[in-house]
Amino acid sequence: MIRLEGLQVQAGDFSLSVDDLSITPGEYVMVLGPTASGKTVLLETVAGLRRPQGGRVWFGSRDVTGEPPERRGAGLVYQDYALFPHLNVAQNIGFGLRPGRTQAAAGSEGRSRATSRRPQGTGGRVGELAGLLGIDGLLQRYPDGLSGGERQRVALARALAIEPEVLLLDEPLSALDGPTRLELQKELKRLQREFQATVMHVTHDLDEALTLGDRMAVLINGRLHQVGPPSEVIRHPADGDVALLTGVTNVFPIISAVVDRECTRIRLGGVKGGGTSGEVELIVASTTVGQLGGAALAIIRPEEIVLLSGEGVIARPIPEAGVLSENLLEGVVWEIQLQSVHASLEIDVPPVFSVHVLRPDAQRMCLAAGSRVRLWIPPEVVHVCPV
Amino acid sequence: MNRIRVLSRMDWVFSFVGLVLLLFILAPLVATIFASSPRDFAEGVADKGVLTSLWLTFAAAFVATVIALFLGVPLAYLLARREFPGKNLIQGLIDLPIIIPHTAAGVALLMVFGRRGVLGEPLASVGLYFTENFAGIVVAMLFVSLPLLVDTAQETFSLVDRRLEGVARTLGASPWSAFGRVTLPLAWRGIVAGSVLMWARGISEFGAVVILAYNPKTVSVLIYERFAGFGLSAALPVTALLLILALVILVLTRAVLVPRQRVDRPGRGGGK
Repeated sequence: MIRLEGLQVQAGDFSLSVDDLSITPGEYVMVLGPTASGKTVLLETVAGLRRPQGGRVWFGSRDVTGEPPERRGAGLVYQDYALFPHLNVAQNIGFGLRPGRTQAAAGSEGRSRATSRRPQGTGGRVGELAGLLGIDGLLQRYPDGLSGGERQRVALARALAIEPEVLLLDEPLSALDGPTRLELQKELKRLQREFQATVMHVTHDLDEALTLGDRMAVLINGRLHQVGPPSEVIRHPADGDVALLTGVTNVFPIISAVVDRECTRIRLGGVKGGGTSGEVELIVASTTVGQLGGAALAIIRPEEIVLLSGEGVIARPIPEAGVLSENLLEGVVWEIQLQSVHASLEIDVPPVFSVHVLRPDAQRMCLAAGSRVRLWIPPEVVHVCPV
Repeated sequence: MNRIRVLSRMDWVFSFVGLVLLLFILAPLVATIFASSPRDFAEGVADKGVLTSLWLTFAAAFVATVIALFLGVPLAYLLARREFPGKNLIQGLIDLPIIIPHTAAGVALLMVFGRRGVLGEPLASVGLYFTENFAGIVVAMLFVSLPLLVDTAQETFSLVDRRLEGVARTLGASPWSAFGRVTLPLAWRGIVAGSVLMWARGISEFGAVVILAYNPKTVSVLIYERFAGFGLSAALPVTALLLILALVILVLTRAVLVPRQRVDRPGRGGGK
């Protein structure tokens, strides 16, 4: 169990603060954050390479806040892998296996590793790890001559060799090309299960975070905005910043809200992306609007909006026809971008709503700039959160 | 590897300009070597005074370099890695010997290491003299040439990615161990290069040395003495010998240190 408690870290002008974040053994936690949000600082603090100005770092029942990195047992993999250029692959992997090395991690907490330390020497362990990562053919090579994917595997093997209390991954996939990246993504998950490793993985890639994370922590500008299961973060972002970071492009201030017994009606409005400003009224399922008091935001994921073309062709099956009378909006397609899987549309109601539909649907509906369309916003997809 | 095979006009111009400079260095060298007849040269070389003096010079410069290695490399590491108040001041102090005239440096050193000096007096009581002595030559060479070693070492250290040290620490290495297993192996070439520079600079020193120790005579003092006492021709053989030796040593160390890019070991075969 890794626990960060009231952590305050100063790095130059930047400051990071984490009120409370714990990672249970064997859990894969993704830290999602934009560039310069403090992700690396966070990892370096857990690893012991940075001293926090306040707060505590717990590894299980050990308070490691004051302990140097060599006594913590945190395996760190940097974005560009930071392999030792003067050592070959075998020496890199075996770096932390030197006989006589202080086994700080040893004996703390019951650990049931799939591959526990065998009585054989470090050579055997290096070979075993290399085999697990599929790099046993590279042992005599030097980092210079390796591809990005190969370096990544070496860096992982090197970190796993010390049987770390926690494996800290700093954007480990961001420097890789598409296919290699997907392959290593699967590999990471497999390794994590095999080693029952506790992982803290930082990334700016939403899909990576969704795919790998048991839980997701959203770090923006040095502050944790939300921690929870990925599906929860996606559906119910804690605030506007989290919404934007997790791909919600429809974030509108709520102008007024009326809560009666049966439903909540909100008025939202605003200007977005150079479109005309305007206001619309929506029925929402959420009943928390009233409790938020002051300023609140309405957040609608672009793929949750149902698109109906002018002729009534529907891009997606609609549950009950009767509901359609509510939250039905009309607008003009203002911009359309075709991608491999999706088409993303900007539709001026006003205000401008972003809508994602499957690309074939968009093409079947003959959507183009200027097309008149109808939108249906199911009440349950409107999420309300504080600013 | 894409090597440009066709020389551009710019390359020609730059080559020509560089050649002018090379000639400027080469001309005195060649002139000196050919000015003394082979017989004079042989006689000069066989001169026991010359050989002793050469040996003394090389040895003193070597001792100075070793001292600077032990005292200067840790400082260079701190300067490269840490931020602390007064860092600029220290940096300036290190480079000071480059700026001041070396005769002035000699005088200043005399104040400390002379028979009445702050350190010279107590050390003399235990039999360590710095005036007219090997130790004095070492001190003079150390003072004037240490910036070369410290600066080069500092630059080399700052080129070593500090995250490598961090990773080494997370893998269980103590700060000492990370320094010894990661930093030094990645920086040693630069440190050796700096040492060679410093050693070479020590050999060439005259001003500070002559003030602390006219005797025993280093080569620079010997050449000056022959020139002042017996004229140009007397100074020539020693000069020629020193030039040749210095050139050979510098070229050799370059050859050992420079071809650096690490090449993959054999068996790289099936690289992607």
